[in-house]
Amino acid sequence: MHEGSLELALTWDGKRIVAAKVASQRPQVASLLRGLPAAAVSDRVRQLFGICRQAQSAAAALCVRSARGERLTPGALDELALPVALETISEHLCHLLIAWPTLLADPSRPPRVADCGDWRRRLRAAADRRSAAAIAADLLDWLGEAELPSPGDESPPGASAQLLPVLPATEWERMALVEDFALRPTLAGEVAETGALARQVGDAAITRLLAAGRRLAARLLARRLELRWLAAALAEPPRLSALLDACPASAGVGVARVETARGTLLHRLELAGDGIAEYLIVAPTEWNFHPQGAFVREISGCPAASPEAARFAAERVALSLDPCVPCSCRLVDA
Amino acid sequence: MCLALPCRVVELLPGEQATVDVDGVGRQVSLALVDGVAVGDYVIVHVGYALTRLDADEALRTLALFAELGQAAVPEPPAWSA
Repeated sequence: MHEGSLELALTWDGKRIVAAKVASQRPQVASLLRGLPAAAVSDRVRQLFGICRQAQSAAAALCVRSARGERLTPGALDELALPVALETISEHLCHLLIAWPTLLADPSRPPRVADCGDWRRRLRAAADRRSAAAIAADLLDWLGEAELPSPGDESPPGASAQLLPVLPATEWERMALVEDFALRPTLAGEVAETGALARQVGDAAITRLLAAGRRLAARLLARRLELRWLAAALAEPPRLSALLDACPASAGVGVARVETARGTLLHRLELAGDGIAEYLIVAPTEWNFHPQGAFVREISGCPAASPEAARFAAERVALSLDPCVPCSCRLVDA
Repeated sequence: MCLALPCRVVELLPGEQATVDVDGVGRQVSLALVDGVAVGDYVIVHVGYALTRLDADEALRTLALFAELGQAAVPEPPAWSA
């Protein structure tokens, strides 16, 4: 048993990547959640999702409370949002300090593993708002000086997917959140990109990069902007509640939305009595690595003079979209 | 979605590295992001880095869940999906 994977198959004709396909293996976790008492779901989800456990367990907790018809006060939302924000900061820092430098392999800019480890230790140890606010102040200082990785050559020329807007749970509840949607989500029938870029798209510098076709650089800048926003919000906790919400769809049904480092996460559950009858999770990776989604659109048509160049181009685009499962590329001759 | 299988640390290596057991296969990972890991501990690994250290009880409970999932799941066809 493994935790799922993405395989990216690139068709290369000697000059460019002419097509790309995504094969995704996804364990079906609903079977481990059905039949559980509602009170046990959040812990079970936390146990299964080791990478973004705070976001996943917050989504589960929100879903259960809304399905029970509990009114969620602003204070309750803030309490759930704080660990999600700390986890998102941690994930963004790992992405910028380790993942990109590792892929780019520039000897003059090695991965900053020790720095990342120091931040992660502090973020993990932040037990309350006061310690979180202290980290936020240091993070804002650091962000003022930190240099973003340079993603290398210009972005591939492929078409872009629409950017997924931040929608409240009530909007998601109106859509058919069923198994097919969870495997291949779309918005109004169209594929969409989720993540920091989609959330920060109103920023002028992001708009300029997108207009210049520099989507990889735009995604990196969006991460930095989001780190700034999160750091500022840690010092002013009510702002954090923008990261998540839930709605009671109808008696015994709950829908929750949580904004994670990789994008929008949705949970939906149905209760039978006080047990779980149905559970559905829509993860950000399913949007970005949809068979016709952002990765496939962007890399299709990308010039590549050698197999190594084709692979590197695909790895850069894939990393910029940050899949949450192990990801491998293979080349297929046209 | 970001499920994560706990991996048992089987050997500590120089340079904050370790060998972990992934489904019976040894894989080298960095321990630079976690503290105090010993042989026999379990860690959550992502892209070559141990991210979290788990206590053995918690890890074994999680592994039992994944085993249950492995038996219950109907694997998706491996055909390319686009």
